Amino acid sequence: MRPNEPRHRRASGPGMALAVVAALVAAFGTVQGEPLTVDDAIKLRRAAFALQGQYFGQLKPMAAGAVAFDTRRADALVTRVTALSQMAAEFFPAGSDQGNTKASAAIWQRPDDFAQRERALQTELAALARSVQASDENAFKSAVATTSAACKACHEDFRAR
Amino acid sequence: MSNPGDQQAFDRCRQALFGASVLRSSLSPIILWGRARGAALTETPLTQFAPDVYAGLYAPLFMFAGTATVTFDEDEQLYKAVLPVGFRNRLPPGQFPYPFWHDKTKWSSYQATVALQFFIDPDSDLIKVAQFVPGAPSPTVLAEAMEAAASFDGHWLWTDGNGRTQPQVTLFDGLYRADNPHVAEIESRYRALALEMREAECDSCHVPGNPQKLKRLVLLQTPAHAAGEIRRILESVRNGDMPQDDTGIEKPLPPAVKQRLLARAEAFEAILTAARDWENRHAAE
Ligand code: HEC
Repeated sequence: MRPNEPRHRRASGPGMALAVVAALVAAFGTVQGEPLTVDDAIKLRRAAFALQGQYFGQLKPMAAGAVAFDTRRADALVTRVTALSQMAAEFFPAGSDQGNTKASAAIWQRPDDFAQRERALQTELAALARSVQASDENAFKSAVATTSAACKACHEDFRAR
Repeated sequence: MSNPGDQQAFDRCRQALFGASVLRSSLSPIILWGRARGAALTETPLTQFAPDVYAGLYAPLFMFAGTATVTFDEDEQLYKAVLPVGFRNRLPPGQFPYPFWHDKTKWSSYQATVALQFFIDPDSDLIKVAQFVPGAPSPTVLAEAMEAAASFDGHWLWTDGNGRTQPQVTLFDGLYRADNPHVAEIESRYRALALEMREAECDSCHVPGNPQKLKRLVLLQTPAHAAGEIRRILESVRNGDMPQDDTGIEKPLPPAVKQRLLARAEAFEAILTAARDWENRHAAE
């Protein structure tokens, strides 16, 4: 997030997201300096996923043409999704398939495949960021679709229902 | 093997397989089906069916030579039974569960099928995965498949020249008795459900074209396909697991839409139960 961006300005839509940030910060506060418990890790990654969903969800209407293509806003959104996806990936300690989570045990059984999905997502997000920086609306539309597909590919294999 | 357009042979075969057959009782509660692609099963796109649907609509499309070889597949850790077959490619369109020719590769591969392979779980002895193994399609088959794909109009259910809904096999025609009083209502209640599933955008994913490239495709586009999945439809919608968005995350339905969808799905389930119960009661006659 850009440090000087007035956060409250956009509080109407992503109000829920801001509440989750607050929860995230609070959660960090409680575990500072101590090793994370499995439950904390689950809470943190779920918060990061909820935020990703919220921000990525704002890119989709832009890609669908329901909302005007706004490169400044899109750039901020992609930056956030990228950072959040990297954060989420850091909170999958062993044993955290147990608890309030849909993470599938396959994540720890096939860690290389899981890591490969994560890298694929980062590749798609990088292409998405380039399309925004180039103000290339067609490239942006297709990058949003291929990024969605990267999310889905991982969810299909590693998210239990 | 009989002639690939022999309707009577096909009818006998599917009645035998749909009933209390060895095949049907050997199928696991969810059977995965698709084209053999020479890759690991986890990396192969497959469609998920209830045993009834596979045994009644898919398996009978093949003419079995009557031989089989069984080996243990070390990579999959499953037994693999290979049965030489031919495909009944000359049946009328309404005898296929949906127009396989919507995609020319799919149609020509089906036609070139030389064998079925069944993967059997060594613990349960049940078939978990079934695949058709295509040989090389002839130039004639390829040309015909191209033509057929071009003529496909995008409808998974259609009305034929006699005003009859097709594919008739998906309306339990020939699987349930002609005097079963509930069969007609299966179609009307399915259509009511289908409208709600359209409203909920289920058909943006759960159709044979597999627009979202699901690895494990679930089909809901005909009465028989939806019937096989009805319990899972109800459960996944009640729990809010379905529908999903295109990133694979739950997408909550507006409460009114969800309520209507569930009501229609329950009504469809009730008529399916009535039809099956009637069939069981009259089986001995
Ligand atoms: C964006 C794509 C998408 C949409 C829209 C969608 N689904 Fe699904 N559905 C999936 C995927 C992916 C799976 C497989 C999930 C898995 O096995 O992990 C699935 C699985 C299912 C299953 C099988 C569940 C099981 O337990 O095996 C049913 C039933 C189902 N969906 C019904 C529906 C219904 C009803 C709707 C509409 C209300 C719907 N789906 C909308 C993608 C979708």
